[in-house]
Amino acid sequence: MQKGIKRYGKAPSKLLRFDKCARAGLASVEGEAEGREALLRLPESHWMQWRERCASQLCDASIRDALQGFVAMRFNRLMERTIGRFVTGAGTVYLPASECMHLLESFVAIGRGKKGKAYKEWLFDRASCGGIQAIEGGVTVLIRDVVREHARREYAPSFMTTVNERVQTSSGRSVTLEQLVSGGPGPDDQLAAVELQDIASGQAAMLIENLEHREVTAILAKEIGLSLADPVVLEVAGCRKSVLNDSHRKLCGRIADILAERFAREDLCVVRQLVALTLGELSNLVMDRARKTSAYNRLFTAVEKT
Amino acid sequence: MRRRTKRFDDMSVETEKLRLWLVEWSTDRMLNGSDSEELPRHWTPASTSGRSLKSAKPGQIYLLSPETAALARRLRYMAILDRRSDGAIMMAPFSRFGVPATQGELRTGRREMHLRVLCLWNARWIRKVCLPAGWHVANMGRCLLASAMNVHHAFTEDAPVSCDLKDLIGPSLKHPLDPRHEYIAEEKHWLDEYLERPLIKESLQYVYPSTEILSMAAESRARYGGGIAGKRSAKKKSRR
Repeated sequence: MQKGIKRYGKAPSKLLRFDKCARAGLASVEGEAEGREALLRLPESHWMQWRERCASQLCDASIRDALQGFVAMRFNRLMERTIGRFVTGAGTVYLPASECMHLLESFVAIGRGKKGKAYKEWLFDRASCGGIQAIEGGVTVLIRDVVREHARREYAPSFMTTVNERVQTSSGRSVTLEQLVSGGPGPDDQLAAVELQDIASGQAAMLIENLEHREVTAILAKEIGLSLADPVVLEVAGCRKSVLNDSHRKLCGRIADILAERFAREDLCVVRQLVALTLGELSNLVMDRARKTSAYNRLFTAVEKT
Repeated sequence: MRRRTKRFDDMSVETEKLRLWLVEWSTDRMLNGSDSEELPRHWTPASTSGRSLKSAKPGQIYLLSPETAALARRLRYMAILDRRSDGAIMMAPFSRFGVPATQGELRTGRREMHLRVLCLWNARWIRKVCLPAGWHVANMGRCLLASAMNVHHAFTEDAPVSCDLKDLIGPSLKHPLDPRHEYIAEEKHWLDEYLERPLIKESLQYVYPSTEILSMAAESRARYGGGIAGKRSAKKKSRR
């Protein structure tokens, strides 16, 4: 432990620089070069006083400032390295020295009793072989925890992963949050999907027999990419665009009602999925039939021309 | 088909849980390695002021003293879950994150940063001779202890967890590339390493000196007896 003090004594310029930094608190944090920081050391007596008097606020003014400066420097540097990437204006994540120390002392303690300050015992036991370097390293470990907690509380949404955003894995590959949660399709999901598709095909085959000419025209026009307001479509349908739109909307509603009645025992989301699949299958069937019917040739020709 | 709907609802809850955990994980990754001086190079464990956990009781929470490098790198809080008549203790570590990562982790409802999530998947029985030293810092309530045992049982026996605890546990782990595998490996590693530390073995096994001290067979070495034999033979010759 003497080693640290000796080192401190040998480098008065560093001491002056650090004291200056501690006094100035936040302002000097920005100006300090990262490389120099590792060389800055506080005498062990500062830490011992902090240990004895429980809180930095109870320490002598000069020691309190030095301790707060030490913590603030590391805290703000870590904040800049993590949250600074996500928040515009890195300086906005900096906290005043006294607040950094307050966060450290309040976040790391367990409850308010003396027992809850066992982290100080841990810190100084850890340092009994490593000297001042081990104390400061230990404090850095604690500050790291505090920074993580502070970031979670104050800045979580700024680096929140969205469902479709890719998450980097240790292997270098990336997956979306959605994939992580679902774990990819399982055998049950595949079976259910096949089952639903079969049901939808059967329903579509039954429904197509009862479709009116307008409804077929509307489905076909949508399938091949023509607007329901297109003059050719309206001519084939033999009605106005509002009537055609209305008949298409009513058809979708009718199919939904039919399927909801037939599969009343199933959950609503399954029925919705079945409706969507049935409409898709119905469009395919209509397309196949229309190709063989001369009445709809004009629609295909209109698409080919465009 | 009913199962599909239920699964859909569960997925949105799990997505939110995982999203919150990933926030903490990504911050942790960014913070890791930002300081290389957390533990001095030639650090060795010293005697601790912490007391042995031999008298620990179920429900107590201990901060483990820095007896090994793994324990010195981070504050490690452990909850005592159970105790056997032979003195062995079942302990579970607390997570460093505030959100449960897997279904084997339980949100404790405590405010303290280091005691918010209990990693029951990493619970171990530790023999009396291997018990660590530490400081008793807090106690868990009976209700929390019962919940912890319930989640531990559900995790180890692959049984369903109690309904009222479902919101307090983490999302399920399915995907092989999930970063939580890395987290689990890390957490498991330090405890494995700690439990495998030589305690009894040291007294039974011969400890070899380092290879620098032992010379190789082909190397030149001092004469047997350190040249005394040579002196003796010289004395004999002089007598003759």
